[in-house]
Amino acid sequence: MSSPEEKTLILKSSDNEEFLVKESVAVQCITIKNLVEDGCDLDAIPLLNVDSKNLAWIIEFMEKYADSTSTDAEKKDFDTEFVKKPFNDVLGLILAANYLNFPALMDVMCDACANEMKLWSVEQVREKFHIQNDYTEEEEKAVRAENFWAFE
Amino acid sequence: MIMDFEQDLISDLPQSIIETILIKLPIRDAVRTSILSSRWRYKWATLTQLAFDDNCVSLCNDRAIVENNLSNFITRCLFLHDGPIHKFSLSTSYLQFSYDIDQWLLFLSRKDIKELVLELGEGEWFRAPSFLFSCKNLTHLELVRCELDPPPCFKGFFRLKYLNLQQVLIPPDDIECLIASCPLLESLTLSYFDSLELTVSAPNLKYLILEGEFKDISLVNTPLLVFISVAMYMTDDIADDIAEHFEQSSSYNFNKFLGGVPQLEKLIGHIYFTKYLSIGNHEGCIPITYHQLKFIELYQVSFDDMKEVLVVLQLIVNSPNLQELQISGSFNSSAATQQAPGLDFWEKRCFIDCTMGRLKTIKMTDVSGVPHEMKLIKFLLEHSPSLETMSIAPSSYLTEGRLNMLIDLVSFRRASTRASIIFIHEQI
Repeated sequence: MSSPEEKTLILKSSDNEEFLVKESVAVQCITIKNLVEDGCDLDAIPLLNVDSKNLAWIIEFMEKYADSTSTDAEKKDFDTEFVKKPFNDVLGLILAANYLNFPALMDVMCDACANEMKLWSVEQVREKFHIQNDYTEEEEKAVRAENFWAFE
Repeated sequence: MIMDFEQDLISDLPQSIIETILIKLPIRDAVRTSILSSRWRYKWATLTQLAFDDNCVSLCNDRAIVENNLSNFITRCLFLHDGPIHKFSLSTSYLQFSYDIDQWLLFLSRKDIKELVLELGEGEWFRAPSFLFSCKNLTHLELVRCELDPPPCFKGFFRLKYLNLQQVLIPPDDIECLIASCPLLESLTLSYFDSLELTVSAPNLKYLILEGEFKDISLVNTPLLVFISVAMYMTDDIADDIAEHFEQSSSYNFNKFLGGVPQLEKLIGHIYFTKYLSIGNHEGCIPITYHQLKFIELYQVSFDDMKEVLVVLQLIVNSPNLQELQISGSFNSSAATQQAPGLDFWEKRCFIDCTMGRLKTIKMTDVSGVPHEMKLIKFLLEHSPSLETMSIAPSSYLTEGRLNMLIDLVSFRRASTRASIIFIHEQI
């Protein structure tokens, strides 16, 4: 039951789409919380680094986590489904969570990223992240020797 | 965001994000990222949290080789590390005391270590070097299977908030001093100690968890405690010794233990806890009301012992805001059919007049139907106007007498019109 004074905020994505969110839910993002506490009285809060696709997901996540009736087990199930997204989207959400300073989302998405990485070989990691291998053959040998104890 | 197909998705991200991801990888994988590209060579080396376990190295049948490899892995890792290390955890069944561990602690004490977890394997006890005690900024310390010997000049961990000692050998006086010298301590867990006599003085303590054989515990300065969980083991000899010893003393264990915790919100007691509390003279009434106490769970309560029943009753009656109560009985077949002594204390004014206005849920398990137990159930039903559920699970040792129990239950008056009694009946 929401009290009559329950404030609603308008969050505007980088592509100008507006989303209505209760203030008590939105302040899980510390960036938004700080804006509100500093007395931001703009009609809509512009989030320049978050597009509508990501913002919609983030709001879905925020609302689940703000719901005091959902149990830990339910949240876990929700997380498991929530992270089933293409890898690029997982990275996009990590960036958005960082920009908005939303620790819970950051934690869940980084977990998902790490869980994927655990399954990959070095080559696969390079491929998925588009990392350019700029080691010469000698340099690569030197690194492998330095860290031989981790490659055994 | 339009992604250039060739654009590196991760290497340019802020170090804080990369660190958050790398920390969630097993340390071996994190180190392997050094091979990805030249920019990645030392990204792992500035991680402020390191967690080592037996998975760091390949296992094989030769224990000595695994021990050696694991030791080598950790040493190399620390040697290449750059910057502060705030959290270090080691969980292994292979490593026991070694000079390597000494060295690592010395290294960590110079790296601003804040959280330390050491869980070592069975075998020779590990004697913590004095280097552990030089880690001045520790906020979190967890030790399993170690030996602790604080040096005489040790003044305390001034920032320590969380202390968890399991199967740790430490002289009894030293453990009391250690606790008292950590002024910010909020959470204390002590497990598997033998015959410990303990006086706890910790002005900021909120969470207390004790498990083991305790001869005597008193809480002398713990005004902020909100959560207490105690599993008290006692061999029968010790129990008799203690009872004899305390008959002469004038203090009531209940008061010694629970006399100074007005903020208590949740209390859990296992095995001999209620018996322990019941020892001593109980002429005076309990001086303290637990206004915040909402959850009580007591296991293995012996309903044949009038003093234990009195402890349970006093706890309940002194907790006006109690919401959930769970009690499990302790079955004693010889007493089941006897007349229980001292049934008249139920008629005391302070019990008759009390009302448990917030009590909603009651769970009684291992019920054997002895007189005091049935009286307690009757009492609870009569004095709980907000009760919603009472569930009763008879002890599986009780083969006859279930019908009598049910007959009694049905006859009890209920203060709450919404109360439903659920009798859990499993096919024997």
